[in-house]
Amino acid sequence: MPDEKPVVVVHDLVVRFTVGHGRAARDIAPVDGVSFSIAPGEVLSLVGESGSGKSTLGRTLVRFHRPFSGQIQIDGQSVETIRSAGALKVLRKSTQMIFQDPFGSLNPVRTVGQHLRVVVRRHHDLNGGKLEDRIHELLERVGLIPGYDFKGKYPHELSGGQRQRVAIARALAVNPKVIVADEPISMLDVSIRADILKLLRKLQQDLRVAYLYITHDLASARYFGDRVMVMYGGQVMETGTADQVVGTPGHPYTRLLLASTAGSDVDLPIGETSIEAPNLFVGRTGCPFAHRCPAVTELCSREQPMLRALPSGQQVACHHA
Amino acid sequence: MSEKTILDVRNLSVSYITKSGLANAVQNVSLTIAEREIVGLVGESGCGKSTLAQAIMRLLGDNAMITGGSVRVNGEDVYALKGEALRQFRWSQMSMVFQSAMNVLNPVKTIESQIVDTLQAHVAISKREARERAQELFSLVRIDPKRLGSYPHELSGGMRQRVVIAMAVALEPKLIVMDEPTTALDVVVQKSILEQIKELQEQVGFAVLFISHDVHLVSSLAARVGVMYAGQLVELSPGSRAWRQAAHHPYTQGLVRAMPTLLATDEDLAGIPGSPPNLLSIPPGCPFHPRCPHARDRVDCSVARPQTQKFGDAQIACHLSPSELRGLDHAG
Repeated sequence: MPDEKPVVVVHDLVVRFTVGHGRAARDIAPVDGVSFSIAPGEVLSLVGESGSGKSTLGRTLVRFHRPFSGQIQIDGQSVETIRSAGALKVLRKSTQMIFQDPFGSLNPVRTVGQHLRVVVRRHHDLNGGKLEDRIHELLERVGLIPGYDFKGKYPHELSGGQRQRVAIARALAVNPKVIVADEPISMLDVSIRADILKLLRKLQQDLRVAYLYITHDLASARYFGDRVMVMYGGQVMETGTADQVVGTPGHPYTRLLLASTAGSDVDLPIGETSIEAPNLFVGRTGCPFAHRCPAVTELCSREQPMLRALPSGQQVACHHA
Repeated sequence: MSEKTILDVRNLSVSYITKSGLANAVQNVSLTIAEREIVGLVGESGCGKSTLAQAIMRLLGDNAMITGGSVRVNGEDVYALKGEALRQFRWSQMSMVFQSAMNVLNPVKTIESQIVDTLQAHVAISKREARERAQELFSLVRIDPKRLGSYPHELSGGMRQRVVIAMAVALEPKLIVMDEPTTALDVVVQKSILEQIKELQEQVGFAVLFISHDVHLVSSLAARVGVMYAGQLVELSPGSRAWRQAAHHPYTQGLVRAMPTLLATDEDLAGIPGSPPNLLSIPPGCPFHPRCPHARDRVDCSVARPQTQKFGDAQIACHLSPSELRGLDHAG
């Protein structure tokens, strides 16, 4: 879909937080100069460890955080300039989020039907029978069949997988163009993860929903994603098609991640380079991965590498790739 | 193998007393681990794998009771030990690593004083000797001994887990039970800690029961892999390279197919329909039969509890014949 207009365009996005209090207060930049786009109906997998900034990036797209600088355009709307509740409501119609914890994202004293009715009523002018029909349709679309049985149930009556399906149905209620899915399967039992991934993929095909799929797991990133973007310390280390990134990784960090993933043919001893968290403080210099990189040189701690294309096709931010 | 048996669990059953009746969390499980062997145990939440670990360590809560069977560690019946003897037995003969290091370490004491206390509680050594030993242990798990003066919150998650592993190794036990020791960690840290566990195991020579929900991880790490479902050990098969060739229980095959693998092409990913059973009402016959794709046109699966059969090097509790299981394996 190269000639189609992207539904998400992010340009040079920076998100900053202040940590500490008083004189000890310092600024960190968990997202530091990130640019990417997502085409309609495309899945971009965002891979990184904790502290990579992947969740902050996802939450900034749905405007839980206000960007420090840079631009976010979703479905033609500028997200970074949103100031009013009205503009936010417009964003919520195009962009929805699914969270990791299906236990925390549903209200325990509300039924499944009540969860969905609130959202459908807020965004679509439906009442009575039409409202119930729509709820029915949403539940069956996410595999909660017969939908009629599930409407009256409370979250505690559902399994983890069913709860995550309700969360997905709620996200779909507004007919979104984009869904930010932050580790949607990592809290579920292994035997039901595959079905949730397959459901997300089916929705992508049936409804042409685009996803930013956030995960720490390269295997599921490759399975679900058309493209994969690897983040470390707030910056993009590598981005390309799923097969480029997993098949011919260009960045030392991607190779380290691959070597750490079960079933990989990259066999690299990990050693003890891995225990320090990245430095996120504003004003750091060089490559964020330099302190752990096996191929580090003096240049790496001085100068920040820019993303550039490799002959194999993907883009890599490394001086030595 | 004529090696010495370190862990010998025989026909062990454990139930929890709940308001709605007895929950049979572990049912008639038998498992042995030889000296210096790593055995993995895989299963989903609620399958009884952690209960089994706690039963081995004799750490079950008051609401749990052993309803049958025995646990022997290094020849000693764990449930015959009393008071001080049990306390001495833990740490020196068997120790445990939990998923969350933060819940094990005392937040208001330095790491050094916690290790020194542990050592002094079990061996007659001076404070200075205990400190020296703590330094050795830190080098063993590749943490700079300068960090001994740190408090738990000053260390990263990976370092804390290394500290806990160092403490588990401290008294050179024969058996270490590890319950999801790397689950809360990032993938790279996870891999580096697994490498370290293997290295330590070779150096120090303890046996490991390694519990995880990740079948890919366990099958690559362990010499033998047990699979639990609804409190029962449904499979015990060879790990590492032999894992791929071995026959597997339909549940294990389902678990393997449920997780995307990194390099497979045209992957036929499929979840297992339904969800794990409630331990208060485990289905009759084979506990997996309501979710098993092969039980549909068979009567025995829903009626009789399958006996464990030998399938080459694997032991599998399933009514299917060896040729039927193999056929499935290749089809899958």
